[in-house]
Amino acid sequence: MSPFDYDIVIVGGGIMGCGAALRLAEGGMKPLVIEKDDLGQGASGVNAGTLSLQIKRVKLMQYALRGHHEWEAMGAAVGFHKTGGYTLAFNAREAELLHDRMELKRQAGAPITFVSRDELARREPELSTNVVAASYCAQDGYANSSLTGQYYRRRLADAGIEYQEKSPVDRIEALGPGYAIHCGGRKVTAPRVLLAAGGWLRQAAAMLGLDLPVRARVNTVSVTEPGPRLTPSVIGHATGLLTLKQKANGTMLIGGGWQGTGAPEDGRGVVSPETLLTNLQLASFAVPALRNWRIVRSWTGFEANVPDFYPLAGKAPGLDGVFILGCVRGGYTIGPYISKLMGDFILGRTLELPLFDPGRIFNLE
Amino acid sequence: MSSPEVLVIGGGPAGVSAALELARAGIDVTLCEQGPRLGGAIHRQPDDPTQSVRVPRSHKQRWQAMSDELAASTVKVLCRHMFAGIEATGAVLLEDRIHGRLVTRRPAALVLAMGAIERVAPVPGWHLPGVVTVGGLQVMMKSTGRAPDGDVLIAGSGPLLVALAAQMASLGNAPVAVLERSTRLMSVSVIASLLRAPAYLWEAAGYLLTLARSGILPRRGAFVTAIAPRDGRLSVTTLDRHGRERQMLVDRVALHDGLLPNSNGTMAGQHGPFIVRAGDCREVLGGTAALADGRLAAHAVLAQIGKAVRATKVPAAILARERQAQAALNTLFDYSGRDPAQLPDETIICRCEGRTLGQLRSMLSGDDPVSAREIKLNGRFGMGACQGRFCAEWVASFVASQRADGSPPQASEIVGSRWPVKPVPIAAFVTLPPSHPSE
Repeated sequence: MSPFDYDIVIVGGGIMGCGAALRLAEGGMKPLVIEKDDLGQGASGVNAGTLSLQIKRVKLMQYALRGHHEWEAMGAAVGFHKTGGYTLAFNAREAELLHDRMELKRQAGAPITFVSRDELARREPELSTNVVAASYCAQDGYANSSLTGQYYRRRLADAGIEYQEKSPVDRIEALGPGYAIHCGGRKVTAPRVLLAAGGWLRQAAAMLGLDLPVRARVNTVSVTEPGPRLTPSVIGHATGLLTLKQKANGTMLIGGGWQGTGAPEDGRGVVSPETLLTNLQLASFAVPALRNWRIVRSWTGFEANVPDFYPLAGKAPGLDGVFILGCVRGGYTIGPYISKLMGDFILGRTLELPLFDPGRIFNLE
Repeated sequence: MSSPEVLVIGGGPAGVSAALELARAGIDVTLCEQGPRLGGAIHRQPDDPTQSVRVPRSHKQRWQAMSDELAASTVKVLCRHMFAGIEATGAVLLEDRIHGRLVTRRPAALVLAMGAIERVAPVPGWHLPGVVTVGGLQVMMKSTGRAPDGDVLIAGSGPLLVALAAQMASLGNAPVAVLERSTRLMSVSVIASLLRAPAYLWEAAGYLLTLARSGILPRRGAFVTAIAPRDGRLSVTTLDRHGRERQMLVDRVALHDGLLPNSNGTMAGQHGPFIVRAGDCREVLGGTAALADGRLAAHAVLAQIGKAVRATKVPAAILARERQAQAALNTLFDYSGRDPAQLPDETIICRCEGRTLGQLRSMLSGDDPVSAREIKLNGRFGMGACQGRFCAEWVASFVASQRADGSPPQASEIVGSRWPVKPVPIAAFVTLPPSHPSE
């Protein structure tokens, strides 16, 4: 009989942590998910929900394509909609940028096509007449990120996986073999630990003496009052600095990674008027009718990143039984897939696609 | 001018009183009002000055005196300027509705005097077109100088019910009925209570007399149990204090179950200005108290910025007296609303997003405690255009009544506190002409 309480303790109950827990349980392990707030309420629950292959990095495209299939399979329970999406360019320089980027993404496997101005005007009459070039991807769409938490809670419960919410980890203690996780007066032990704490990954890793070069981006999202239907598609911009979609209830969700202020250790971030203004300027430039719409709410979510903007997914450097999963650019799209891969890795299975060694050397500037 | 600027938000009695008191002390004051004119809910001025609603003479005289002093003062008045919140660096955001833009100010202090919000307890059908709040109807009447058309039913509880009914009657369209949920109005202790607040007694007597002349007697202990659309009108089911059910066909229903401080917009950041609340926005005590509270708020600001304050106990004494009078008045009314246990699952709770009581109940059916965050993010309560101002208090008290958990979510956690505290048009953010940002 095992001297440990669980086979693995997963720190962080977002898409990454819950997704890995499901895969590990499928493979016969007994995981415990520990979440400092509620399941899926960090970046997993407050991002703009965009599922667009047009904004994924070339090297991550195969992961994103598989992520898309995962979202499609989750379907209505996560508010999945495959709408198709357009990326717009407003001048010659942007058109060139759009063409170069989308061509590479197309070669990497994303079914992206280019659309003429006239064709775009026919299909999307509410978009700006200032568009000079556009690309289209029929795979693109969105899901409702605010459903993430309740979705995974149900999945964990159905799979009989234990989870503990509102439980910040105080300390992780290395035992002879294995680890003891101290959390709100309770101590649980396991031979393995998976750190999947999103924007809080740096602090979580520090409990094990690891110094990860993780920085949190503070992404801004805004939502308008409901209004008449302006576009059925997900809309982006050649620079990648805009996401825009109209939800079924008529509200428009506007994002694009514009930066607010604040840090994960201080709780939630705050919206900065200067960046919000530019974000909304771009949104209303793309869809002019939006100028008369009212913003109901703007908020931020923390997205963790490392200097090379590729994921941390694999074994922690120098620590037996410690695994790290995070910093996935486009983590919402890719999360359900890469968390499965992570599970397979921990289970010792052959991997469909390679992971991203957290111990690699980063070029720190 | 070398003195630091103080911003006062809200052009009702509390805000105007605070602004005047600050100006008297030589402070550079700007008074912001979101509407086209000052006055607030109580002294709301008509769009057309010849079309005014009859209000008690004492109210009119008081407002005239304040308006005169304001006109002669150094207070800068900005109408059509809505308080949109305070951003992280402490700047106060105002939506300038004249020019359709968002502007920022960095005052040394901020007086929030944004009045009360009306409480309406949910009943089936209260979200239908034609169902309004008593205060909302009064605003419309004071602005247009005309009573609403058609058959109007007034229901709920509170002194505002008879006030509106009397104003409608004197404008030529008395309501078809006034249903006052409370049964306590005619008890012996009432007389004692009212004697402690003679001004209210006289005001109420005036309203009741006007109503009696129109043949309207408020029905005590009666309330609305459901509203449904019928032939382009509203079919209202009511219960009287003997448990008798009745149907009425009307054009409008005006509901009211008391007032709450308009708590939206409190985000005292570490970099923000010194913030003090005044009037009904701090504690719902009515117009007379608001005047005194405005002065007290001004004194708090003066003390904070190192200005000498004239020693006077008068405003505090007025406040204490009004608090006592309001407490007495509150014992006469019944703001409890329909017992949630009697409400069907289909009852809309969040009118902005159409979220129902059934959806709230199912959220509470599990074993886990439910946090304010989950009520918002999963339940979508408090996520619509009003940001929970109209449902958060009811939702919080319902959750507390259903769950024996240690710490049920507070209404203040459900109400949005991020800027913008009220919806702001994208065009107001985008103050520059539509040019491409990367050009």
